[in-house]
Amino acid sequence: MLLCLCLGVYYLTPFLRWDRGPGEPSQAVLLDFEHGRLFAFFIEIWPQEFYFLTGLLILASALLILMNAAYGRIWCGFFCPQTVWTDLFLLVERWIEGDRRERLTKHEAPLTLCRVAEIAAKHAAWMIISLATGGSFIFYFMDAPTLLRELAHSEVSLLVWTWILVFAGTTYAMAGFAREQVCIFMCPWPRLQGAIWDPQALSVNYRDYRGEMRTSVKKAAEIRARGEQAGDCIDCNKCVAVCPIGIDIREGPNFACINCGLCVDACDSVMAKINRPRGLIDYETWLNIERGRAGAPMEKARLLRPKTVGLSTFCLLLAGGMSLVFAMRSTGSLSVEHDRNPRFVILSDGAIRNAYNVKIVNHGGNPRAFSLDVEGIDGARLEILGAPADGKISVLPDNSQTVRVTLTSTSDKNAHLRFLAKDESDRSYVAAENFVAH
Amino acid sequence: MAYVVTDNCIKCKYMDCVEVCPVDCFYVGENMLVIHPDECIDCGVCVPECPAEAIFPDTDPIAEKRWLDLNRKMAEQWPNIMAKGETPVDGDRWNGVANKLAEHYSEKPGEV
Repeated sequence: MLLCLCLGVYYLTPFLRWDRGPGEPSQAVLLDFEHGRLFAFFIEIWPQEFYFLTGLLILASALLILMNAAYGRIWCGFFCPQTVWTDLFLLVERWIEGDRRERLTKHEAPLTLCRVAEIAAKHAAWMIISLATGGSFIFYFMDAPTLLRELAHSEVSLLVWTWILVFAGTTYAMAGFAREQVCIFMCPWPRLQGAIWDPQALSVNYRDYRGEMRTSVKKAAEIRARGEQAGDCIDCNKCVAVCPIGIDIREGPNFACINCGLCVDACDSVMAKINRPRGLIDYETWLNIERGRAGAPMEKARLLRPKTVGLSTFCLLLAGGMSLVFAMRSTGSLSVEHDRNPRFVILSDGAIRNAYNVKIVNHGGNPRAFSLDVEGIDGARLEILGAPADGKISVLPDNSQTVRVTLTSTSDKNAHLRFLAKDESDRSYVAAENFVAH
Repeated sequence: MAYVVTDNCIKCKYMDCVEVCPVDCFYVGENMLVIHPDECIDCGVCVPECPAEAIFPDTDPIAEKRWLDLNRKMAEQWPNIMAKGETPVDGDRWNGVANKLAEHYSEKPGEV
């Protein structure tokens, strides 16, 4: 279920469309290197705003620690791409070669034509998935439908092919061969786990106070009949057999455990068969394990604790702050600079004229035309030197335009001015300046 | 699914499986063991223990239907065995001999 969801999100996201108007890419999530833009739905991030990405990374780390405080390494067991793709590869392996026992038997058996075909089919399927994965990754950087069409006609550049093959190769190697070694040795998480491990988190734990001493079912019955203690664990090793990391959870909390819960299910199925209560291995807090050892009553795991509340608050504040900065950022700017010298000119008819340098910046991805207005002075005439007949100042995308402007007035009073640049869609920018008459 | 004991156990009867079975579902005949398919929890711990490699999942083609039937039938008649007993002195000689079911199988119960 989750596997399909995660894979679906990854493969389909590049094909989501988002209308940003003409001239702008219509892909919902796109890292546009050519134009130096990062698009994510309504969000558009410019290279100079890299701090947004930093903020997102900090937010992601805080969320991971929060998750860890609540449910342990649940990210690793259910959502991490390494786990998702490894599970997918294992699924393919099981479909083609059968379960682990069958695979081991086949591994020892001599090679037959049928066996060779099976191995070839497995690797071919893996490679196809890897190529699709590598290809999808590139879709995040270029327009997906266009690229897909070009791929179908093999019209893509060597560069694109190189990147697809690089990512396909890493997928093939990580999910097909390295697998849990990535989680144990390559991923930084297990190094952190020692520091952020939380005894109050609901992580996979073995109720050793209930399981030990291990002994087989009927022997346990005999021991109990004698009035002595026998553990519920019958040492069937199912928990070890299903563990994707290959650890024995019964040895205690393990930094490499990814909290996937496969051992919980395996143990529960065995407990059901031998009519013992489930939950010998369970999502349980370490505090409760210690309480169990001491014979103390269990307490429900508390989600609301100073640590989780603090981390949640931090995440909310960070997200809120980022949204605020994002909402308040401008898509352009206007600056007006009064001529230093001469400060004003008296014309032959007695009118007074000031000159200004006006600079309009357009951060958008489309060319925009601005009309310029001035407030704060009555009966004055604004003239843009060298402007087209409609009096609009056009600014190219990602660019700025500087124009000379004169303001002529019959009044001989100084005035505070507000310059107003407004584009076609009524987005306006304001700058303050002065009119000097004496 | 369950695991079943098959042909190569007959007259070898090493009984290493008995020691590791977490549910003690082995039953002993005069010259072989069987698994009670309803008690078996499919853990497979016994499979690598068997020196004669006589234990298979009932889904395996080697463990034909008759082996599942034989295991079930005899498990209901023979005594349960929970600890390894004395192994036949000539067990190794019979390891790998073909078609033991037809020629050497005994329905008599074993001793615990």
